[in-house]
Amino acid sequence: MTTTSVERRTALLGLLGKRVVQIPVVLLVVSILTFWLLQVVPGNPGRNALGQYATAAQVTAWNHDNGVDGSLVTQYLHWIGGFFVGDWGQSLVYSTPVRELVLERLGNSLLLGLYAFVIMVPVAIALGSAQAYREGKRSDRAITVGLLSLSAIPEFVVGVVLLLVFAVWLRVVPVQSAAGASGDFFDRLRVMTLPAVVLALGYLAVLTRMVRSGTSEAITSQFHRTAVIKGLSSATIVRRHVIRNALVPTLSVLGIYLGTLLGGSVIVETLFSYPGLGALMVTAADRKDVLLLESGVMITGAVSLLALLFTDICFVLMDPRIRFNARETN
Amino acid sequence: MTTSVVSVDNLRVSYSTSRSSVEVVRGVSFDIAPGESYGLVGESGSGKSTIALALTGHRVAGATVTADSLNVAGLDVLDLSQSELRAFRARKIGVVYQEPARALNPTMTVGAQVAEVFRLRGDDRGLARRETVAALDRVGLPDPATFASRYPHELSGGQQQRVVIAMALAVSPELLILDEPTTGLDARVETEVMALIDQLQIELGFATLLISHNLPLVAAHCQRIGVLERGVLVEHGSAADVLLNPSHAYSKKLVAALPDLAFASARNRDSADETDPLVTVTGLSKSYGGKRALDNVSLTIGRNEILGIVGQSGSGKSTFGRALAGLIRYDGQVSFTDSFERRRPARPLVQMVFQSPDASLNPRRTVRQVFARSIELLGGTGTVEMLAESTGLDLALLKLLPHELSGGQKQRVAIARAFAGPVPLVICDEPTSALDVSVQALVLDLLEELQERTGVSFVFISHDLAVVRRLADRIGVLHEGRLVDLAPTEQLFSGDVDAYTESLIASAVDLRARGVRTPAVAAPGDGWQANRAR
Repeated sequence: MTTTSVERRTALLGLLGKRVVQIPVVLLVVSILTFWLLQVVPGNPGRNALGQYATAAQVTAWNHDNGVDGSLVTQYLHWIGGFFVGDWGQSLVYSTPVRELVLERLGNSLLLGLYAFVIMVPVAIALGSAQAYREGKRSDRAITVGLLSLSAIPEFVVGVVLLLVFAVWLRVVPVQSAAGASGDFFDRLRVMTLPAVVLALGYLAVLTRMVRSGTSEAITSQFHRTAVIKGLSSATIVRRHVIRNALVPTLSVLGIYLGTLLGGSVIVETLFSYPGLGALMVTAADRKDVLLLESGVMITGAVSLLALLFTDICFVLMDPRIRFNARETN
Repeated sequence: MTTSVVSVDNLRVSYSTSRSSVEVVRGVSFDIAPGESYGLVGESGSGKSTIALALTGHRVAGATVTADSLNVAGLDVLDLSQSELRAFRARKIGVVYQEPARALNPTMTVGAQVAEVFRLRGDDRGLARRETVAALDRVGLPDPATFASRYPHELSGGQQQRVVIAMALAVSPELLILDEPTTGLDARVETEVMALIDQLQIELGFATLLISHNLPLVAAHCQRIGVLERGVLVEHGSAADVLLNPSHAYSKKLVAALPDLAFASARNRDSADETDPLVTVTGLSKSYGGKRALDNVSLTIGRNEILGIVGQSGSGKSTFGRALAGLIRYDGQVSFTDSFERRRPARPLVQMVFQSPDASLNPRRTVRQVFARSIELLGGTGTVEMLAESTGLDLALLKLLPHELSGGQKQRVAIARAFAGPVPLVICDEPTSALDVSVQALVLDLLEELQERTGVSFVFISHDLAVVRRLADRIGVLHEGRLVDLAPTEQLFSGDVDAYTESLIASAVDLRARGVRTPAVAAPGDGWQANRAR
């Protein structure tokens, strides 16, 4: 083991250790803020759950049973205590255990987000690097204009157009993606394709732009020239000297996008009636389903933070210069 | 002719954009014999790097290369196919670049980068690894087996350049092209790197093409020199001839502009008085992480004095300047004798001139805007035009943006900015290091003149002893953060000094002395040099 690889391993372990402390703290703060903010939403959860014909006594009893009475602090402590031991409570709206509901929807959202991510990344890398190698030419500008126009159109417009074309006219995919949650693998894939494409398109322009500038920087760099004058073949140069350096700046954006994608998207899920976490959260906020919303927010937050941690680890592995220590900059 | 390693006849290179075409190399011809060292001297923009790239067959986008003959190692570079060109680059030539930090891939270990060259020759992994270790050993890197697994950013500039040299010489090329190989390195490291190249040349017998703006360096290394001015080879001959009896006006100018270590400045030293200090520095210390950058430095800066601070990079000299300017936090005390703090309105006490004017001027502000703002901030009484005139800037330049100015003009703007109002102390951190020699001389003249006119105190930080000697009244020598010497300039050069200072002076003298040495009369004890002179 050389000193440098030991140093890098220590850096990685240090990063992991730091995140293990940071992530729960961030989640705790998020949960407190969400709990507090929810009080702004009008309405009584018991009344919402039981309907207008329930008596006041029934409502009070229901609120008590579900731990949504008493002071804000007691309510919060009651909830967080349950959350940590796996008892996430009962959804006020759906009258089913929150845990099952959230985890099932989370699975759907993860699947859709991952699918979108898998579509998006190779396309962005291909387009971006192609642009970098053709910098300033007509095709470069055409791709830029095309992607920027696409990203300027709201998701629901793109979604509706794609639905019209592929579901209504060509009939290759169903209009509703609700079935996506069940059925065999290829069925699910077919159903999820359209929403995944719409999700991916939303981030494609920025990502391609990042890849383009990263690649362009790498191929105009002096070490690229060194590699050329060494007499290496173009393929070797791309593989060994371009890819890694070109993707380092893109990686930071990728982490944020991955977190966002996996956490579910309200618009796309609603548009395609896809049973994901995003749509569920909107309902929960709307109906003041405190327990459902809290758990949902915690899970989405955890997914985002883990995605960021994942990219940080990739960062350390890809770029030996990265250190996550605060250092005096001058 | 057929025995030459390089044979260039009427080389022309032009860059064309959609609108215009500029010829940067205009009919250059020269030959390099096997094992010979040939030097090309010229200032930035003279086309010397373009010639180097043309020899490797590397074509920058938009460049057109033509020549009656462009033969390197027996091959017509202009006539090679892509795959022949790759084979030619891999086996026949090696290139050492100006900035080793940027010439190396930051995300690959240096060992892997050197090994690539061996792999290209067809060696298997294990053999390439062993050869890499041997190659790193040959260029004098410590513990080469471990060294191979380090990344470029973990090395010093000198070590990075050694890696690049190891890479260039890996497969014993016939020609080694050195493009400003030591620019940006300290005098001592420069001496070491050039000595290494000289020694390897004896061992391996390759020819070198050394390209530099540094005339003494080229003269010390090369038997023959060509002087380039705006793409034209205006003079060529033996190293001694060009340096001692330059015939072309431009070569004369280059030689004359060299700051000479032997000559002291003509400054009137009576005006400076260190017994009446403007600034008193006591126990100045600064650490970065666990590393001590400045260690208990105490000194005074007199009124009207130019205090030179010299040292290698990493000696803490820039840290000293930054601490003095209040740009970083530090331990210890920096106090001004007069109570400037009570001035109303409060005005800056210190101004700084940095090494790179590119980095210190806002690219989106015209010279006029820069000046107007500085005059306002520093409480100056003059106009923008007066400021421009006092620093020798043409009034027509006022409406231009920094990128439209030359390097020397930009540095003049940066200097003028510091003198826009009454400031008692000006700190110059390597203000001429990024400039060509002829421009450097003019900028030094300007600094000297401004000092005499305004009577401010100067702290002049540089790694170049010749430059400091020309300007400074007193010189402080920093070594690993400690002030090892502080003495009036002439005393430092003639008197009893610290061992480190002595070695610093010796390597500076050596670098220049080798320049005027005719190859035939090399000192007998001078092993390999005598050898090369045959």
